[in-house]
Amino acid sequence: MKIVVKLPVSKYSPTTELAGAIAGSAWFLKAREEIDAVDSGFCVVDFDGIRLATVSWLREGLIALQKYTVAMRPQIVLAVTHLEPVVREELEVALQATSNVMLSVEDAVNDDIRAVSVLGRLDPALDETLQVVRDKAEFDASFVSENLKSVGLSAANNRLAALEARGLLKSERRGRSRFYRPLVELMTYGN
Amino acid sequence: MNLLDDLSDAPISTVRDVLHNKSPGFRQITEMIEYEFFRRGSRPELPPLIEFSPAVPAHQIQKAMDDRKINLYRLSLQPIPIDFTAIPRELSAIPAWTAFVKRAEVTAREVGFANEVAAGIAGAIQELADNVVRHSEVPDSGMAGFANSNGTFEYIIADAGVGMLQSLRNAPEFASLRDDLEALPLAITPGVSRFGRGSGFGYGFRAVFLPLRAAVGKIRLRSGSAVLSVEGSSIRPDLARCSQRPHHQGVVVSVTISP
Repeated sequence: MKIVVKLPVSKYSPTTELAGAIAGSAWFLKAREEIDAVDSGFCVVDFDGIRLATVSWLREGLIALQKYTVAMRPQIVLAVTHLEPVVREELEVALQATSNVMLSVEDAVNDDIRAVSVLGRLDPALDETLQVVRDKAEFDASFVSENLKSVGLSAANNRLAALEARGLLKSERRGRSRFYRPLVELMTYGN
Repeated sequence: MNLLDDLSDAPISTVRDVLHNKSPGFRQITEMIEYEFFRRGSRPELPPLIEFSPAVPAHQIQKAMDDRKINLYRLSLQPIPIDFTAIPRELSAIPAWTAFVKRAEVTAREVGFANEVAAGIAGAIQELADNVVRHSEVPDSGMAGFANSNGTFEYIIADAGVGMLQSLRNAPEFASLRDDLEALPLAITPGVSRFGRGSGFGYGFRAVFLPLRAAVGKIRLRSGSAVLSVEGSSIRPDLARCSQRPHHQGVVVSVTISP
């Protein structure tokens, strides 16, 4: 799995401290243009050199970009990398506050991705669903319903759609059924 | 007790007396700016800053508050003992504002803070200025200042806007807030904002507390008819104390922090 585009955060920020919703919005508008120039593949927002990113900046900048990508450019996978501990901590808070999760590339050699983790916490229902499906190559709502006894087919469909909306799964319709796959392999979550 | 709290409802003669004769007056730029905001917004009959403080900063503060404009050509990145500016609506789109924040950061490093703490202070200044522009409803009233005061870094972000109470009342769940004594503790609670709880907003003060985790300091939040303060080492929002004061129009956040 290769990184297609690396987007350095510093490219569109005059400072290495990212703070405030206004600055976050301004960054989002510029970063979105870069995303729009990509057809498909793994786009990584690179925080190398960034020493601080506040919750407000992350909400209006990075998380807004992720929401845009999931909604408007579903063929693109967005992730982050090179997070300083304080930036990672603030991102976890921002993701929690906005009920989002985000992929983080933890290890890559020559843009070849070796390890990806999921930042943020899902709500309990989505959490248990992801735990059931994350090691599977492909699955559908029936699989979830069979493995989570209290979850009916309709609820399983809703849960899988919600995980797709958060950028963790992708789906493909075949006939009357929809089949899902994890968006990336080697994904760790909740460890 | 903060000198401002002593003077805010005192007779004019007492204020003159204290500031001219009986006290060394304001020692910190944060106090000077808060006083001038209080005087202009709530008690214009009080003597202006320059009347009892002939020092250069008082004149500069007076002029900056009269003009309410940022000096667009001031782009120096060198540390400086005392600095302040009007807050531009465009924030980081204005290079002079970015330069001001950078000067705050390098000055904090000169005080003795590690790079990550100095970066945190710079981030807090930007975050609070962002709050002025987005929430005060009078964004052009915003002022920011900082100083290296004998081994302590102090900074202030102030505005003459609607204040914390009125801003929070925009949220239906906070519409019935009775007074600033209820509003100020909420204002520094993570996840609370004028959009309500759990809206994803309301984390601005988190950035203010962040650099204070590994330092000794004090946060003072003055708005409306209350003041909230918290001080010590490794301070947290839940340790803050709030008490009643004479009305102050707008919001003043001042922070002192020592390595």
